[in-house]
Amino acid sequence: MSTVAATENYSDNVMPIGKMGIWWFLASEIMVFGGLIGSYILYRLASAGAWAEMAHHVSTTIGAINTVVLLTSSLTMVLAHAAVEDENRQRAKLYLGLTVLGGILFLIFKAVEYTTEISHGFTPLAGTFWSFYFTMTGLHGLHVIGGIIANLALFVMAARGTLWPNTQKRVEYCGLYWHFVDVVWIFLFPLLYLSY
Amino acid sequence: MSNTAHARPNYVAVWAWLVFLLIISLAAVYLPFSQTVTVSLIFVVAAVKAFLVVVNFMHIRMEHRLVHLIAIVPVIFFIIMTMALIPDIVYNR
Repeated sequence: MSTVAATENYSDNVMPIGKMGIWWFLASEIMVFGGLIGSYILYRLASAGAWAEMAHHVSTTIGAINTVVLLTSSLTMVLAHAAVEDENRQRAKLYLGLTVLGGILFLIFKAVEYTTEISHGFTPLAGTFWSFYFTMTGLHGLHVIGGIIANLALFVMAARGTLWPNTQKRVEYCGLYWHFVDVVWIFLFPLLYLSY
Repeated sequence: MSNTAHARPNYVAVWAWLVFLLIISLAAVYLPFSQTVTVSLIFVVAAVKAFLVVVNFMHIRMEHRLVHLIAIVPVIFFIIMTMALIPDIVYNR
């Protein structure tokens, strides 16, 4: 455990507008994914037998690999934030680049998975389970794409040296979003891949 | 966060715990537990993993109390919404 100075320059009673904004955004995202996940749980409980059979056709292996990929990209994101706090520009650039690569790797595995499922006839119209599966993982995938774009912008800024001295907080805010995307996947994985 | 210095978690150790918990949830599926035990275990593990990410990577402990409120209220709404619909959708179809 090392001790570092906090990046924020505000008292306990005042919060930066950017931080307030990202947390409000994440709160709305909890309700977006919460509505989908809640509906999925309810319909799954109502028709357990039929859905369990369907759930056997998803690739647990690819789902598990993608979980490791996202967890690792969350690690590199928080390490990028730590590097920014330490004003270590090279490390910040490295970790932001690795985070972007993690997101791209996740999408590649997801594309392979989708291709296999659709080629076997498991399209979004193949049943309620598959409708939920493609909607939830598709919406999550769109969030991953959004995170990749944001982190890529930060990486370019870090490479050009324009991330400093006043814009470091963007790394923290993008990091909060990226970790949230990770948390959503942490719940989607057992819901879709393990609970058969 | 405040102006005061804060301790930084060992991020790599947290990541190692997350991967270890993933392995536990995968193992639970293949071990001869009852369905109730398996499902309970994998969702408890998921909740612990989410907690580790929120606490250690999102640093929520160091955030303003308002952030805690903003984060927890929609989770409570989600739980209430889901629980309230169970009698209608699960038992009354």
